[in-house]
Amino acid sequence: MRPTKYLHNVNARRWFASGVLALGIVLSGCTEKPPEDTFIHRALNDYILPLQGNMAERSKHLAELVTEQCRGLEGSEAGEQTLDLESLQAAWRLSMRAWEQLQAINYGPINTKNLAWKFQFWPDSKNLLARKIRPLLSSEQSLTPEQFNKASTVVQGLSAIEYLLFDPSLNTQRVSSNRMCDLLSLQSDQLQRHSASLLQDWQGRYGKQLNRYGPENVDFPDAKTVVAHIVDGQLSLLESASNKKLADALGSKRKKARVNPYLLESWRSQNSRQNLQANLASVDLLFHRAGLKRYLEKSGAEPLAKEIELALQKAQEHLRADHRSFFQSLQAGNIDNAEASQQALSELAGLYKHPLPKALGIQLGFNNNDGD
Amino acid sequence: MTAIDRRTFLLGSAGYSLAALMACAPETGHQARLLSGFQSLGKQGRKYGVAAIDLNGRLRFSLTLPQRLHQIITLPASHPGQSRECLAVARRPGTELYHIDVDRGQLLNTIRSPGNRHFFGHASCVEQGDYIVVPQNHLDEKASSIGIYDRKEAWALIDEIPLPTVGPHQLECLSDGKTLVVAMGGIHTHPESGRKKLNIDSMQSSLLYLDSGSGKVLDDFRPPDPKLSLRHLAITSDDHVIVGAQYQGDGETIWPLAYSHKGESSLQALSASQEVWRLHQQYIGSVSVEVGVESARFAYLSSPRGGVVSRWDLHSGECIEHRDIRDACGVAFSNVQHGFFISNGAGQMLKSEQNTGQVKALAYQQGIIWDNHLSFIM
Repeated sequence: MRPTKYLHNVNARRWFASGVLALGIVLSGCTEKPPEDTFIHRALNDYILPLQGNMAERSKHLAELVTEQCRGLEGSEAGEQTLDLESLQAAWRLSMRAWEQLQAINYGPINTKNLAWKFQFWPDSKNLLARKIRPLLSSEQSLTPEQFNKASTVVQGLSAIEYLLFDPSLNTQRVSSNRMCDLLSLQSDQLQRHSASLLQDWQGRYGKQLNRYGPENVDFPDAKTVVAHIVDGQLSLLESASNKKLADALGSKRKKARVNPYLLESWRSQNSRQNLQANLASVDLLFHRAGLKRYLEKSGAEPLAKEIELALQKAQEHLRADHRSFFQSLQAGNIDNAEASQQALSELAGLYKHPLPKALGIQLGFNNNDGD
Repeated sequence: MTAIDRRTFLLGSAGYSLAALMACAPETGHQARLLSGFQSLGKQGRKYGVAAIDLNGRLRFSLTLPQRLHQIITLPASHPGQSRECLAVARRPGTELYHIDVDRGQLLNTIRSPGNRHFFGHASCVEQGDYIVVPQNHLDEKASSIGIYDRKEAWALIDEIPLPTVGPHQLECLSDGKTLVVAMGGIHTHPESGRKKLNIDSMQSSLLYLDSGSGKVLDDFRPPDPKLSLRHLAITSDDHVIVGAQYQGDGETIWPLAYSHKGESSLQALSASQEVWRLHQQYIGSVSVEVGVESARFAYLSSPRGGVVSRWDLHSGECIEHRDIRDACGVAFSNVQHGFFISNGAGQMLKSEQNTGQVKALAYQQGIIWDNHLSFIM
């Protein structure tokens, strides 16, 4: 082979290679990502991370407020100064809202670290909260953070804080503000720590793991499995909202229906309606902003997407339709709005349970609900 | 890690044995197999069957079968050079046992329960595999029994041992080859009522020891709450029984969900914090222990409801760790492979190392649901 011909061939090869590369780039620019990839990316960045961030921020605010108020009590004589319950209650409501939105993210670090119960002990039909917290309030001995971490989860988390800030019996029992402070500080500090650690985990290892699905990934062997985890979380939230949070209090599942407002999730603070609204805000966020609706449409399930949208709106409207708390209504025997809300939540849950997995070609828990 | 080709899986599932194909596929490792019942989700609906996976994660055979399966028991060879065989047991209210040649991937025989009985998905070998014992539900009365089927007589039902209560579930045989340990779930069901539990308010679960020869009840141990339905169990080579429970009471009560027994006067609860038990969501789906080792140390419990598999130290009776694995239920130990294999409803087969617990992926097939139990055959 002569040198010129050789050079010519090399140049031709280079041109050809460059052409293929350029064409590849152009084509890859035109090729749309699989809808699963787009959805997973958005679910992480527009849903999971913002909600984890919000929880971290709200619980930090609550912990700071407790510290600030309790510092104000230092040096004061017993009974001389009291906590500003109203501002603490408002901060608790914001933290609770953040937690209610987070409840759909029941996979990943919260499971691995077994933290869900440390965020909220509920349901509590046996009133364990009162039975476990009262002795701590009357005890002379303070708990260290280490002892508190090892204590029963009943005294930790948002339900325990709610008890301290809202339980009507504590107002009459003249619990010392200093004693309240000891417990509130331990609880809110722990809540803040756990929320921060979850956010950190999602920003790091877990977020990466979600995006790096594949055969070697034990948790997420393919994109559909990631989608199934996310949808499973939504379904679990909706079923809990419909069944545990409303149907149980309405007695709907019993042969002889008996309304019991004390089975509502946050009866002490009368925040149960807002809790359910926060649950639906979370479902709404994933559906609209984080792209579940778009993903369904891309999968050829426009009618189902529309159906879910309408069912979601209907449930939201029912929850907005009455401004009284569910606790007040149920105590007064007015159950119409609670029943309508429960029915709407149940219908929405039904759409997430069967048609949605079918439309996306995913399998939700199987052995999970059909074992023996 | 191998992603099983769906077409290959479904080819087998269409009723054709893949034995011929598999005979050509090179064995890069050993002949060991993982066996499990499965369901496949296709355009034509659900199909049930049994499949074998090798330790490279490749499908060795799959067979479509009429009834949904639960446990696959391996059968000892009845003569030298014989192909390896297993028996797949239909789950409640199934009425069939499938005798399968594991090496050829062929169905050898279908054994049917008598007309007024159904099976509960479990069985065990006694007398070196000459007989198998199968818990049965009686349909014309509120009663249960253990059917004894004779392998040499083409699996004829030769006897029945009446049981004192209802709802027998998993059973195993002690090392003497004749003493049976039965997890008596205590729940009465009838096919006419679907899967509805008919006696929750009066149920009484227990762990029953009985002589398979005479049918005599040797011992009966009750859990601390009658509603702790004892369902699944595993036994070490030195007859240490670990039994898992499914609580049928209210959703808030937290009981230990696994108990150990080896000659004590009562069941001994495995020890873990309430938070660890809560993770299991009142439900143990499968129990596995080390077998073929001296002084077995590790046991695994699975809870598909909690999406968790937990690892336990039998010497201390304590939980070592737990790992969230979505919809995991089947667990099988292999002494030769030094690990516990785990299967789930999301199509995954995983391996957890015996000494470290580290979990690695082995095989995956999207759209295939591995049913509740997993078995290992050498």
